[in-house]
Amino acid sequence: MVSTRAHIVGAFEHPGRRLPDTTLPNLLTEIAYGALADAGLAPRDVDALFTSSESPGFGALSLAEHLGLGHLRYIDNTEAGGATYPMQVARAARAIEAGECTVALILMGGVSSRIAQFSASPEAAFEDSMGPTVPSYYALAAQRHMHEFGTTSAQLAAVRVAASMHAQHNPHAAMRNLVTVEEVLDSPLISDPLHRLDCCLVTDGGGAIVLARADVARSVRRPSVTVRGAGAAVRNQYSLLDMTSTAAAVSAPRAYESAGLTADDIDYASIYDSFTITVVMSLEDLGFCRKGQGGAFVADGQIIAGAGRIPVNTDGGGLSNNHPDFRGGMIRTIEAVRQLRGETTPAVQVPDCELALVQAHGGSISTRAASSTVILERHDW
Amino acid sequence: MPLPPFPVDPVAVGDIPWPAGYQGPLTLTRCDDCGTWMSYPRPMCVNCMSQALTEQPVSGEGVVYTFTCIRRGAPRPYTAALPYVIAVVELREGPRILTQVDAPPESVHIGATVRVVYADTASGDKALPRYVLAH
Repeated sequence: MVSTRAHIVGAFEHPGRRLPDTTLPNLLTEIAYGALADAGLAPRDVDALFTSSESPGFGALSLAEHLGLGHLRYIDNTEAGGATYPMQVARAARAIEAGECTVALILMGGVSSRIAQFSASPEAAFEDSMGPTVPSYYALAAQRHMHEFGTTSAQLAAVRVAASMHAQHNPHAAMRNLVTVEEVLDSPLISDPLHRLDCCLVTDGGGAIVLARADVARSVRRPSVTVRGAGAAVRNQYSLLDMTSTAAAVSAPRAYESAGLTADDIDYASIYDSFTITVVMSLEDLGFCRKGQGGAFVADGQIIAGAGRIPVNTDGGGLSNNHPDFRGGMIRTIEAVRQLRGETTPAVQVPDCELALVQAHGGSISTRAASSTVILERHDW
Repeated sequence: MPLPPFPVDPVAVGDIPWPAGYQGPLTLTRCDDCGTWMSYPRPMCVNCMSQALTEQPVSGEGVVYTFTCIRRGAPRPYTAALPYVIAVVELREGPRILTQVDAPPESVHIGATVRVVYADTASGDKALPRYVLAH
């Protein structure tokens, strides 16, 4: 009997960071085909397409034609902001294992420098009229975390320092310069206590992942990665949002339970670093350190490749490498795949990396938030 | 320097209008059947789905749960107001709301007590709630 186990067989991060002359449909084509080429597959092989509200026109239907996907039997348009894509990786794996499809393409991309998104939210009159900004939503959480646990700006800055140490080895990174704690603290305050260098980049570009059923996966002869476990959660004012934890406090235990693992088993973690505070709170919620200890943990160098307990964002993350369309989850997933394939640069490669965790957040951690925690495993045929 | 009038009219932002009479006194939506407070108006109760909702007068007093001073990157209508403080205020009745605190940033701290005031919008014929330090 043919195994229906799902494997990640393709992963592609678009090399562009500023793409003023591209159109969104054509950018998405370059990304989709990049991932298919990496997998050794073609558009005709794809029977499942996963997209989000980024996709132009009538969602998956418009894109399917544009990409030449003539044999789709499974589509998924999900909107969970930056958390969308690891969520979809987990769903695609389940769909393949349930026999609903054979080859799934998970696609994200945007031209942040040109194309805005989203119509007005239901709460817009009551909250947007107060003049909040995206950084301010994270600053509200950071301020409360500092109040309760004594977290400092210098500790937050250590997240950016680690990202820059990793990005210096990434030839595609948007910012390859080393950053010091002092440089973060000396950069202008955007929304107290977050400085400019506490904020992730805004880039154009995107990425895609391809999953395939075991028989296809084996035939393409690429290093293989499977989904070991996953958890998702959505939080808001009606789920006791306390602003010192993220929705990962809910999604991570679900992911560990479904994988039969704990934080101690994880070799590498990709964590959506929308802001430095997001990483600090996520590390706590993921169980890499105790609640309230995230600041000390990062300041102690524990997320630096080759030095710390759990290397985080070895490509440089959204802070130094790439943050297309304000959505971190796809590029975080791709770096986890690169680690498990042993395809990162030697300076940041985790030796014998077997288990990688992807933590993505969507929305904002102080108001309405989605979280996706996915645990990926290297598969040796 | 106090915050200028609200540079936007709430009717121009989003699809759900502020409740009638939002120039004050402050009201919040509450379910008559189960008592659940809602931080902004809903058609039915988010807890029990009852349609028996009332705009209930509230104290307009609360405590700063967290805050930030926005110094850069404000949405366009707010650029001239920079820097300004926004906060999550926990009202005495329980709900937490996102709002402005009209006070110098260095005077605002977590745990500070605040009270509601009404500020004109730019068009002058409407007013919106924001908060000031109670002392």
